[in-house]
Amino acid sequence: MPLKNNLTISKIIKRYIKMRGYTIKQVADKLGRNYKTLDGILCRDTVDAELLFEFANLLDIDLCWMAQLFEKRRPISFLEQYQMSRMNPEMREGELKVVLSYLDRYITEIPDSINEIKAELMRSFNQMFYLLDVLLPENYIIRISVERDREKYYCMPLQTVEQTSRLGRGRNATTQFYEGHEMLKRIILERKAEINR
Amino acid sequence: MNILFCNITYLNNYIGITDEDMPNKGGEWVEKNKDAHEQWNFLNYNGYCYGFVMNKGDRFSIERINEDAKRNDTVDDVTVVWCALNDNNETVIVGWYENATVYRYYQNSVVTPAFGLDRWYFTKAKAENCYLLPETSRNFVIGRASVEGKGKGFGQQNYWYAESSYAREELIPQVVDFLNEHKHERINRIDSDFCAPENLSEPLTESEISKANEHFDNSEDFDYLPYGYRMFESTQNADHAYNIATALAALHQYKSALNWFEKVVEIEGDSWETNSQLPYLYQQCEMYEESIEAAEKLFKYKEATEENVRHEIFGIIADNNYYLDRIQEGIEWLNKILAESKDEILLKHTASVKEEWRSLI
Repeated sequence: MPLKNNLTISKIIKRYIKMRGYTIKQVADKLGRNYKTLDGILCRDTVDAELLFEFANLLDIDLCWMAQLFEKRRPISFLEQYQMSRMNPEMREGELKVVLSYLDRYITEIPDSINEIKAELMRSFNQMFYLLDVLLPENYIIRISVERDREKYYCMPLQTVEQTSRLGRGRNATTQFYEGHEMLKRIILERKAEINR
Repeated sequence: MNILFCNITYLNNYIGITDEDMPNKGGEWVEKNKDAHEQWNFLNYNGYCYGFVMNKGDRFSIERINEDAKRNDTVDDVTVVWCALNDNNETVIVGWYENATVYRYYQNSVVTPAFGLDRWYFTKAKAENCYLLPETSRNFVIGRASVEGKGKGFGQQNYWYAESSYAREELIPQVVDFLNEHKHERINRIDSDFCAPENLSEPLTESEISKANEHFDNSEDFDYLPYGYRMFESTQNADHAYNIATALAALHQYKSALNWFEKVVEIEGDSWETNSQLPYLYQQCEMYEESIEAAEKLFKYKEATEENVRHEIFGIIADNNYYLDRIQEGIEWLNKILAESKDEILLKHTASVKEEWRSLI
């Protein structure tokens, strides 16, 4: 049975609270709200828009980034590929520890199948973009296309994008936008290699 | 007989990273081989396999394969025998290409921003003429000259022309017999593996639908494909056709993918979503006129009024003209980008490409 770590708005807010060095009570005080009420809202994941904005202001949450995780996507063709905002680096540092703990566990439990490890990670976190955002270094860009309600992610180091653009013959590695699943497999392979060193 | 022996990394499938080719050999192997081009030597890439072997120099002396090739850059009808070092420290035959073309210089694969695999190769053969052996049959040992003696195996290079009398009179006849005996065992994918399955008209069970969706969601395109065909057979709608098309494209079967995208258009009419795939797909298939036509068709859509998209389309048309050796026309499309774009990176790149192309006129 896979461990579940499905993201919710409340979970992200709680992570930001911890990251900023606050307790929920302190945040409630700062927002002028009742602590028990606020705690209840976060437990039930019933944060409304007004409260979300208050949290965002206080904790410096990138709402554009957060919206990416939860919004229902409109169709985005390959030609339009939308570039996703990356997670705040401080947040990534914390999230990386969590995701790596799952990944390392699956690598130990399922030594012979990258596909199965990837499948378990996806079952645990339920969000391809979140996994890529956490596991890829900051210098990677992540783009999305949405075709027939199916999201596809493309990842590439920023310097390669700058070098190759999308024009001209003889460009190197233009399709070394790794598709999301392929990228995850590479990350798993490299993590395995790191563990085995 | 035109023959060449090549020594490459030992893998199971040679189609990139798969579970069977997930190396357990540790960090050093990954660092060295994760982007090694020979890992794709038996990938069916739009009906062909493209082979790579590391050359310490920058060219292959193809006249040593066939002396008639002295003044040419290619030699045809070559049997390329792929060998690799197994865990017992023996260099064994792992597969071969028949009727292959061998190039004097490395070639770069056709690749576009949307499709393709950016890699080098020096030989190619139709997938039907490529044979990768299962592990259990990789037992024909090819020696090393340093051990067996001069002319009796691989030397310093990773390829061997096998010109010695020992090779010609003794080894090669044995190799040919071995290849003929094991042809039927091949494990690499040929074109028919990407076609509709035999049980095409069988409706899917609930459990099969669930499996199909799982494969689809995980981008396990080869496993998805037989289900995809059956789904389309059962309900011939555009969604099913689209899913087959994208699976085929992901599996590098670009010509087949094109046919299925065209089917989508037949069923549901023109749409931005489908039509925006076509320019690069045609380009990937080296159908440059069709690619231009497909790109120009995109201007009628509102999505093409967005600057990035519009300039991307200009770029596609520019490239196609370049590939068709219509350099001046290509430059005119680059000029459109230079006139309109405010993206500094794009402007810099476009200007540099324009200079490069101008020097060719």
